[in-house]
Amino acid sequence: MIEFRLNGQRIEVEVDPAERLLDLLRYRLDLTGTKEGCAEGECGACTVYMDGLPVDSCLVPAYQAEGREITTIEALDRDRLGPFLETGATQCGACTPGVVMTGTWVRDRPELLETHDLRELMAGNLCRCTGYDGIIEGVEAALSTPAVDSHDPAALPQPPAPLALAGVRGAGSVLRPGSVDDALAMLGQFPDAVPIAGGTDLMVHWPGHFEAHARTYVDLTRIESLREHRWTDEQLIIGALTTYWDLIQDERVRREFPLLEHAARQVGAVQIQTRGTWAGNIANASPAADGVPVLMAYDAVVDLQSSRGTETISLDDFYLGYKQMRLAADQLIVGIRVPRRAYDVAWFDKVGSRAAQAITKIGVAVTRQAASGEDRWRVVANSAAPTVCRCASVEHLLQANTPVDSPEALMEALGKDVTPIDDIRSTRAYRQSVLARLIYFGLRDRVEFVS
Amino acid sequence: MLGYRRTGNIGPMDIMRREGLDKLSGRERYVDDLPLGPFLWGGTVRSPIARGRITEIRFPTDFDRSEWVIVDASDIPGRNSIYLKAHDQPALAETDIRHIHEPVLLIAHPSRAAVRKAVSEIEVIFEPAPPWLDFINDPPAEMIQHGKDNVFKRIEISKGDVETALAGAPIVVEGEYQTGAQEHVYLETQGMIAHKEGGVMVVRGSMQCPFYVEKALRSLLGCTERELRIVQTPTGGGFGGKEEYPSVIAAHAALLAANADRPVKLIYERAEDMAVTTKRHPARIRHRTGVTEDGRLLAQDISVRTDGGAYVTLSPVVLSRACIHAAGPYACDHVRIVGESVLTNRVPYGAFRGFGNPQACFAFERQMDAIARRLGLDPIEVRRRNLIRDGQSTATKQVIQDGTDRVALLDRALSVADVAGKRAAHATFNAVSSSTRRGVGVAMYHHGAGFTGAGEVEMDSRVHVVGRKDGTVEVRAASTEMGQGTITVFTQLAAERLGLPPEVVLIAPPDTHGVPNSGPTVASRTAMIVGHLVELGCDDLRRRIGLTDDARGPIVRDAIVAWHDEHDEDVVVGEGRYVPPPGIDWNEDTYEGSAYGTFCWAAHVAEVEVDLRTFGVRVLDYVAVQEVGTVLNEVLARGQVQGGVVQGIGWALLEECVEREGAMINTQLTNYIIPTSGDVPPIRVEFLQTPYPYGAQGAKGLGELPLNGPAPALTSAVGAALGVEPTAIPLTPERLLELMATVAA
Repeated sequence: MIEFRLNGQRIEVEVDPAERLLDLLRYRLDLTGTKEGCAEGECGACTVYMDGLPVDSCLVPAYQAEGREITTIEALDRDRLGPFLETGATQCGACTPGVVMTGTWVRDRPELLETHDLRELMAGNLCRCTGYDGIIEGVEAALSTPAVDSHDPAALPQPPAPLALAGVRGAGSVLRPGSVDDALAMLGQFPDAVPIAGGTDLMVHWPGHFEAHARTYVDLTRIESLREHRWTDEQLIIGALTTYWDLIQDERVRREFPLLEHAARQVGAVQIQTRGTWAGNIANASPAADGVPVLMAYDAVVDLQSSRGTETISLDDFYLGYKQMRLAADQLIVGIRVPRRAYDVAWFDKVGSRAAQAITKIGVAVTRQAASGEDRWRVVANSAAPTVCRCASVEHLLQANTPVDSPEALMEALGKDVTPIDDIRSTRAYRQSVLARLIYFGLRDRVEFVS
Repeated sequence: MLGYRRTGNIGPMDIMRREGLDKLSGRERYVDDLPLGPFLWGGTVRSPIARGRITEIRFPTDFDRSEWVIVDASDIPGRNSIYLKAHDQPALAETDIRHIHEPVLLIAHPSRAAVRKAVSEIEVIFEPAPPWLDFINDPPAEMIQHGKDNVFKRIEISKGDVETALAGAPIVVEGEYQTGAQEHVYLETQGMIAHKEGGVMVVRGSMQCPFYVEKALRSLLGCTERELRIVQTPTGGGFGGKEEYPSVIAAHAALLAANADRPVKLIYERAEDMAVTTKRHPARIRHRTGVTEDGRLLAQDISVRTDGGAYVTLSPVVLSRACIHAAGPYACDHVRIVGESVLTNRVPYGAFRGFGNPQACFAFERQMDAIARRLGLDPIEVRRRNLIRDGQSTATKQVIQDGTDRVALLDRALSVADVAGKRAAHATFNAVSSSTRRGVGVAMYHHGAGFTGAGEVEMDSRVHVVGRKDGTVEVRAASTEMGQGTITVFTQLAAERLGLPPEVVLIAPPDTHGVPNSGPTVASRTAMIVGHLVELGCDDLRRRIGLTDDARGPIVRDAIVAWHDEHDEDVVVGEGRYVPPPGIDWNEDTYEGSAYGTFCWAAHVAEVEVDLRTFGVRVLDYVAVQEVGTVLNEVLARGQVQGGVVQGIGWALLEECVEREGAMINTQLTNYIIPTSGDVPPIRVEFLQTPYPYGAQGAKGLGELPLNGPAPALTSAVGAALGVEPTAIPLTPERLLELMATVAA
């Protein structure tokens, strides 16, 4: 039995460990305004607010609602939706509740537009009817329409009594520790248990992943101490539950570690950025991870903990092979530390198949420390090898101040550093060629020694 | 909330989308949202191979049949086919398999999780046969599976003497163009609920055409129309994807429900929807064009070949529209167009917004660019010189006489987009930019409005406008709302015709037991043709309540109430029935005559920036100017154009159905890439209006038109930016890299 606030009202409900928040809302609480479009956090039709932030409810395990404030489309003030109607923000209506949830969130936070473009903020809601102009204009109109407080949340209808759980349940279970020590004890006791935080990877296509339903999960989201990120004189310390959105919102991150912000803003869209964690991006071990190359380019280290003790590993040394890493079954990533150094060159290029909501086809993060000396350069590629990887030969070329006068001049070195493949998203030839071009053009625009 | 918005010279009475607030507030209930008592979830077991024979269906050892409803082909009471144009596509495969994911067995159970698991565990055992996956070349004998040559439909259009004209032409330009499949990605996946109610099978769900479903199910269930009731639920997008395919799901839901003691709900999840439903037909189109040195068309020899997939579905009709449009909006005295749609062992292709014309348009507009390049002329000038003028005829010898100045339309687009200014700016920009190049491209095209050829006459569409006891009127039509605005436009048309406020106009839900057959919601025909039937229905209603044709306003309401004082019937029925416009003459055998009642015209301009690092194409500006007759509702019309353009941008640049052995393998929204709000600029829309006398308030068809333009305009712009000539789409960065490499070599 979990308890949470739903549209302003307290609710208690029994949930299955294999149940998504989306299913709980739609099929047991009759809140059908929240739609399912893709089951993978791509279309945003299932957008709800979790503690005031938009999230894709198809990627939220129902048990994670415990103690939180969940708001659905049904709670929004109908009388304030006029601007969306007038601009033609809705046609078929299937994406619309999600669009309105995100649009209303932006409407109520105009300060977001100081750092973000409206089209970027809305990119987590796919629409196939409007071409987006009606939606963008609707949010703009809503932003310029003064708030009229006609809304009485207490007048919201009480959700119906939840329908009982029915059907086949996964045989799995979830453990919900309240402290790191408890979490470590659980991981020690259940070696097959899977830690879960934002769920943006583990929950993708959840309903069809029968084997995943049978597992044991250690849900970290109740461990408040892992949530925050901190600054010391020497480093930025990212917590295990720190999300992309947390860092995007930190003005110091934007100033001092712009690549972190740059990468974070290209992960999914807002609904993913509010849930996805940096530690999860590392532990997922995908070669296409966007958080990992920028952390690596900033020479980050990972703090691991288990009931046996603590360990610190450079991110450079963390990956052993495809989906292989130096992380024992009982170890938890409890933090990521990024040294505060001055860089005179720093950029990250992500090439996805579209402007947002794209898995990286090829990417590269490049930094050069401002201080002179050895090993100033770090060149890190993603989607170019079985793991995110440093490009040692290219770094060596740069370290030696070798002029790079064409993309082709990098090919030999890259041939030693990366092994891109053909897959459903792109081709080996494209990845090879474009990686070289990204580095070449990036250098040409930024570094003087290139002839 | 039903506010009025009058917007100057556009639209006599613009109202806001009637169901809009329900959609915006999440109150609108789609098929998967409907409250339902105890019910079963349905599931579909499918063929794992593209071609072969089923030898056995093997259930998991722990499968307890007593918990399940199980249906196979032997349970079909009527004819085992999804009947629309032909009886070739079985509702459930018996032994022969013609494409991957072909439905074989249906199951239903109270637990959705149990259904998912069972579908993944029930094995279809088969003897494989080699599939035929080549739609370009002629198949060898062992690959023939339809007729004598696998050709679903062959069309030949002939005007003048092409061979002689080509032989005499000073210059002949040849081109070959290819376009890929496209998935609709309506945001609401397909689904149906079926249940028995007395002796009637009731099927509710997401669909464009209730009477198509009725036709297929009557044949399948062997029942009468009174024993079958089809009801459309609010439909979350269609784009053609819910034209013919819903009949398959409805058939399956009904077969399960016939064997169940409670309703059966069959909802496709995204991956299933993308893998098994229809897509836009891939096409290969060849042009051989004879031209004068100053760019005038002397002869057009065109061949169109489309991949029909494994069954006939709508391929012949799609091919027909493709062929009729293949010569473009240009005048030419000697034209030959030969089209073929052929079988492959792929999931059947089907209706998709544009219906063959996007493929045709990509080819004829790319060919115009190729001609210009060959002659060293401005591609805009080549178009201008050849645009069809009033009094000239199309390839089917249909004389165009609609008062539209197509040259002015083109010029308007050039001026709105400032093409001259852009070109000058690009020349400067491209000379100094290190890693980007810019270009601008133009597309000019037409789209026949309504059904092709004799389709409208054969359909014999009807609409009822009924007066009710309380003086309100109700429009009864089978035309569905799927986001394009049917409810709103019908409301406006009836309110305007009768001089009543829109609040007293009701739109009946499309229900085969409650509305007459106004035809399918396809072919951009709803506002123009069915809308006009609404107007005629209003006129007939007025006559039946004893009013003259000019009676409008409260007097109509009063007369309806007065009629009920004297009659016992529930409603007084006015009927609008399709009458072909004068001068319509189509010969289906020779493909000559009035292919369409009228055409819409459009000029699109795209400006792009190509990133030389990534070969990504960014759309900087997009201008769409179109002549669509009277615009009935500005917000809705603009939304149709913007949405269609963005869907076209997706098809041109991003959307690719990646295939392995006849199966689409990128069946997720993470790897089938449609545009986000961040991928497109504002789409600038302008309308020119030449009222069409036989369309509602002068309207022509609008919905499909905008999708035709982006592919040719964008590829032309990329060509201008880079000096290459793309001949295939989607023009993904990977394909553009290859093209650049070819040119460099």
